[in-house]
Amino acid sequence: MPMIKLQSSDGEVFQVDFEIAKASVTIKTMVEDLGLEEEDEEIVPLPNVNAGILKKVIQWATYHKDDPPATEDDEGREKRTDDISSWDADFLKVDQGTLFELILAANYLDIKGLLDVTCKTVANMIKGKTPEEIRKTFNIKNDFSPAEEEQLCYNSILDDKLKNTRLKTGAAGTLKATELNKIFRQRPSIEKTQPFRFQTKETNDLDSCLKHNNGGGSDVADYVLTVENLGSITFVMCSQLVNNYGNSGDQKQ
Amino acid sequence: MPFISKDWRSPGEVWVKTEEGWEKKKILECCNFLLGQQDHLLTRYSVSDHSDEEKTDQIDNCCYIYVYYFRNEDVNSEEKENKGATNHFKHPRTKYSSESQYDGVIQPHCHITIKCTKEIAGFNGLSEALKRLDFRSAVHDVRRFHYICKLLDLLVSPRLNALSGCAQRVLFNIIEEVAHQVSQSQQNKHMLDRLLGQLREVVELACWGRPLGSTILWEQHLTTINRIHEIADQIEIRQPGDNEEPQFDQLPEECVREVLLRLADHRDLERSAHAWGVMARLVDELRIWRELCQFHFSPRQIQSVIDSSPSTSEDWQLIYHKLRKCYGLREEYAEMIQLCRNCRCLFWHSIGHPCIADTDPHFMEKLEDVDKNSLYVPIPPQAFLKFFSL
Repeated sequence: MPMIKLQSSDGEVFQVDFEIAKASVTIKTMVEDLGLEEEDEEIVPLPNVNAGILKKVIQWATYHKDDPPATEDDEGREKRTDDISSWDADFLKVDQGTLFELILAANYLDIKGLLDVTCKTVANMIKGKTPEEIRKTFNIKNDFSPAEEEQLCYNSILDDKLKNTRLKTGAAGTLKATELNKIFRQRPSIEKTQPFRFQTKETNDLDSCLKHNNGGGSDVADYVLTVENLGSITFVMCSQLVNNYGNSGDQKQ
Repeated sequence: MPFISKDWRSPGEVWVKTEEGWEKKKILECCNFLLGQQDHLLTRYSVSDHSDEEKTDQIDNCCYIYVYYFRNEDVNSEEKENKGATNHFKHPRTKYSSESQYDGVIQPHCHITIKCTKEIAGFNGLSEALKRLDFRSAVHDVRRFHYICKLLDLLVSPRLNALSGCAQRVLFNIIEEVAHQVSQSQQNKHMLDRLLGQLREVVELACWGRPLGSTILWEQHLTTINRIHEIADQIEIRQPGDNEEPQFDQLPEECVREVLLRLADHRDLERSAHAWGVMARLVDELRIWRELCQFHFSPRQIQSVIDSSPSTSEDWQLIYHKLRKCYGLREEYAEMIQLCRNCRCLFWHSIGHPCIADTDPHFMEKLEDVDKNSLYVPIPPQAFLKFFSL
């Protein structure tokens, strides 16, 4: 069996079966380009990977050395984020730092399978979370200005749901999505309150809920989000929302 | 002359007393199968065992829980390990105390009657199937989690009233397991919230005759539901320590893009865009939306939308939303329940099942010229419920 020597950034040398090291396209090309022979005592330096991570990568590659190459009819596999084998799932039960280092290493060494499974793990951490929860999960600082943030929050939801729809707002006649947007945007910056946990399909419930939560800008935003999540929004509800919201806003002023 | 079948003369079912009440022996023969290392599960069970005697009662047949390691469907040849799991439980099953006897353990599987007519409608019991297929431990497998959630979702909202009290109890037990899994993994909280929201509706609508039958049973259900709510309320997202290097925001854009490319839901993309400026910029890229389209829709569907409004041919985000409204999103599960056409048996694909074809050489010969791929039929959640006339 031809062996190859890999040197990590902190100088540790690992002797690996070439068949295993070949999982990394980077190493494979390097060896082919350099024309390394079996007998060579040449060491392949990997300046971007430290010993701990390289060890883990080799462990992964050793386990997966007999995997069949990805086939064509497997398209869409990369978006199936729950398609992680139990071995991989155990392998990736590590802290976030290690997980991200593995992503960096897989990216640098060009190991498609490892990059795939690590990215899926991170994607699973994002799934179904609110922006605030995502920030918390990854310790990301909020880098939007309040104005930008409001824009973002409302735009996409409203654009998506309300584009080309004229809303009936009872006595006030019709209202365009942009106008609704404006109402929302008049609010001062969003306060971060508890994520809103309200799910219903009943208009009446929506009504009482709104009354209950009167005045909290973020509630209304989350509110729209929740309704949107239900996927069963009717524009009657939405108009009610605008009505109530508009009224409460007026009263406050 | 009445027809007296053999069953009539048989001694009937053998019942075993478990911590949860009496249970048919044939249901308990399928052990709880845990794929991979489920340390948290063991800790949870073992902790509750030491500290709180009462909690162990919640554990379904805790004396039957063993941990196995295997990678392929071929259970017998793979390494298996007890992992000392039995030591944690109050009543380790002595029958399997020696290593060699593990081979005799049966994988979770459930024989069903496929064509359900009025006469045999009661033959397929949902509670029995849920137990035999070991849904409670399957919840902890990332590959099967979504399938089970979808099934629970279908069962809780419109169908809960149609379920038997026993099935309801099993259902609540599974949901509690989901809550534990969500709280442990900090993932998929939205699914738990969704289930709980629907559950709350059912509880509020409860009146005698619909979900309410036995008062005692309903009280038990309410305690379980409250317990689930407690678990759900305590879920709080853990923040990584500041000293863990590198942090997510230190990853290069190409890596963040790789992550975003793996999200299959536009809402997740939008929410990530709201979370962080870098992701917002990446989500605006055409490639992410184009690949999203290609994942969810066929080239013909995409082409038809592009043809209908040529001006949008570059705006993949718009195309995606149009397609989504026309055709709906693709629904996929990493693993589904499968139906074996030889023995009419439901089973988990990764675990396999004891098939008559394996034990009967005569049957094997007959199968030789049959396409092996057509033997197992994947059963989507909706189809699964059809077997139980739901």
